Amino acid sequence: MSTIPKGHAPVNETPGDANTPDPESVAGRRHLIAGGLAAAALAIAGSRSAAAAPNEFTEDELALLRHAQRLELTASALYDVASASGPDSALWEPMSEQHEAYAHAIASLTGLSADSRDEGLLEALRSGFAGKDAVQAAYDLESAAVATHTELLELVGQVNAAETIASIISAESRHCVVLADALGRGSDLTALLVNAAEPILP
Amino acid sequence: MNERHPNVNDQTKDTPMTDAVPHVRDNAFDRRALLRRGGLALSIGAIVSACAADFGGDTAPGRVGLADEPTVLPDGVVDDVVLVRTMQSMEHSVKAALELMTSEGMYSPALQTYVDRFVADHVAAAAVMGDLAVAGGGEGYACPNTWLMDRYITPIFTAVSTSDDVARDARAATYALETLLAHSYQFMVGLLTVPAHRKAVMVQGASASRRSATLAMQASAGTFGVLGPGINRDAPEKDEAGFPIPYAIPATFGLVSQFEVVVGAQDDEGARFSTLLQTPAENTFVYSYLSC
Repeated sequence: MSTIPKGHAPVNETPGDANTPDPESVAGRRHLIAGGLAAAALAIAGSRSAAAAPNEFTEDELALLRHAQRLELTASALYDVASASGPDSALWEPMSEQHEAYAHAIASLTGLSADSRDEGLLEALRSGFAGKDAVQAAYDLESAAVATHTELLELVGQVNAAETIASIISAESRHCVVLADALGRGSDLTALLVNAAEPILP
Repeated sequence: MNERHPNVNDQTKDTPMTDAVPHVRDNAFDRRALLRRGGLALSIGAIVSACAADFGGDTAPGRVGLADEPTVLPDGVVDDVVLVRTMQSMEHSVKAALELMTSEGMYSPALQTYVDRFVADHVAAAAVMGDLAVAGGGEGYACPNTWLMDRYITPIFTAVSTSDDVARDARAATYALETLLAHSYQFMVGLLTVPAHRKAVMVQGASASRRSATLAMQASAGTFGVLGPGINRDAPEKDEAGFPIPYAIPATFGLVSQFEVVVGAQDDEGARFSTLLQTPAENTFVYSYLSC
C-alpha cells in the first residue's frame, strides 16, 4: 500500500525546493502523519475484528448451519400442517413457534436469512403430520432434529454457534418427552429417555 | 539575611529599644536556633537509621501459636480434560444422591422404577466422561464432586429426610439434580474447545434434559401443563404452597440459569429449606491435580 498521495512528491525528495519547509516542521508533520496512519490502521483492524467475529464461519460450516436452519423452518411448517389438519392440540402452535425461533437464532448467528425450508422433507412428512399419527410423526421429527444438531456440534467450530445449537438440542429433547407422553408412552422409559433416531443429513 | 529582612541582631544595632536586647542576643537557645538544631538532629538520625547495617533475621510478621503452615494449592488450569472430569464427578454426585434416597426408601414405588434407570444412566454417562478425560491425556475422576456434595446434596438430603412429605421432596430433589446436570452439560459447550467434546457432552446433556422433563411431566403436567413461564406467560412459577413448579418445557431454548429448589419441613416461621443450584464454576471444577 502506498502512503504517498498522487500528485504530490514525497516530502523527502524535495530538498532543493524554495518552498521546502523547515526540517523540524517536516519531522513534526511526519510524526503526525505516521501517528495518524497508525491510529487509522488500529481503528480499521479493531473494527474489522469486532464486526467479523460473529460471522467467522467457513463455507462448509455455513452450509451446515443453513441445513439446520431449513430443518427448523420445515419443522415449524409441519406443525402448522398438523394444526390445520388434525385434531386440535395445544402443543402444535407453540411447537411451531419454537422451531421458527430456532431458525431465527441461527439467522442471527450467521446472517443467513430464515426464508427457506427443506421442501423435499416437508413433502415427505406432510401426510404424517396431517393424519391421525401426527404425534408420532412429530416425535420422530424431534428425535431426528436432536440427532442432526448433535452431529453439527462436531462439525461447527465457532463457539457461539455451538452454544446456540446446544440450547436447541436441550429444548428439542424435552419436546420428545412431551410427545412420548402424548403418544401414551409416558411410562415407556425407552421412549422417554432414549433417542435412537438418525440425523437428517444435508 | 537580605535587606528586606534584616537580622534581628542588626536591627538592634540601629534601633536600640531596650536594655534587654543584648541579653536576647546572647541567648544560644532562641526559637530559631532551637528549630535549626532540632531539624538537624532529626535529619542526622534519619540518615544514620537508613544507613544502619543489616544484621539479618526474619523481617516477616511473626506467627502466634503452633498451627500448621497453610497448604498452597497449585494453579488450576481449566482445559477440556478438567471440564469433562467435572461432569464425570457431577454424574457420580447425582448417582450418590439418588442411591442415598433410594436406600432411605424416600421414593414412591412408581418413581423408584424411574430412579433405578436414572442411576444406570449416570453410571454410563460418568464412564463416558471418564473415557473422554483419558482420551484427552488426563485421568478420570470416578467419585463425587466434593463441592457439590457439601454445598448442595448433603443439605438437600438432610432437608428431605426431615420433610413433612418425603416422597414429594425426594422427587423435587431428584428433578432439581437432573435439571442441574442438563444445565451444566449445555453450559460446558461454551467452555470446551474441541468440537468432538462438545458433541460428546451434549449427548449426555440431551439425556439429562429428558430425565428432567420426565420428572416434570409426572410432577406437574396434569395441573399446570407442560409449557413454562418462558413460553406461556400465564404459567405460574410457584404453586400455592410456595414450591417451584417444574415444567417439561420451561422455555423456548435450553437454559443454563440458576434455579431454586425448595424442600423440607416448614420451620417455626413457615419457611422451608431452599437453595439456588448453579452450573459449575472455578470452585467446582475438578482440576487435574485433584484425585479421588
